[in-house]
Amino acid sequence: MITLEVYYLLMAVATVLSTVATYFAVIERDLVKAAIFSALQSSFYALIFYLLMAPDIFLTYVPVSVGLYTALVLILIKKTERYEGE
Amino acid sequence: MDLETHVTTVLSAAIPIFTVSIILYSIRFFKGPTIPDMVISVDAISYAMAVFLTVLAVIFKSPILIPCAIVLMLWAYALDIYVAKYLEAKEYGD
Repeated sequence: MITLEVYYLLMAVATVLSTVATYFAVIERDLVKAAIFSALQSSFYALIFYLLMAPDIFLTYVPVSVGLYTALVLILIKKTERYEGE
Repeated sequence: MDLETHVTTVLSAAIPIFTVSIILYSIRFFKGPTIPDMVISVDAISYAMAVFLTVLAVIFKSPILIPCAIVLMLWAYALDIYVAKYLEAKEYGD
């Protein structure tokens, strides 16, 4: 049987990887890459919500953060410039 | 041992495999030099995670958790469509 520590370990792995993705999303100069880093961070947050047994928050968080947010940011980048200035 | 114990044992053995595969996909994501590498790796992470969520739903014995995996896979596919249209066509049908 699976003990509770396995789920805590999975949450720890997802938290560390999402923190790394957030760091790269902040320092990245290419805004398209930053949007994709943000999508990865949202995927790991979704895994954490699932492991915390909140499927309703999961079902709201994934379309907004992975789908709508990324699409909106890409449309805004297309209207302006792709690379961040000095 | 009955069938339930066997199934739980096999699915429990699958958990470290999924964890290691997601970590390896993440390494490819952070090292990936071009944008298509990163998009494909986040796509693979989402799909592996969706199968993993289904395995966890079977272990938890709660079928209410299954639609989460379907939603995650469909929106990860939508992410591919957005990025591909940005990189290729530069228009969103407007």
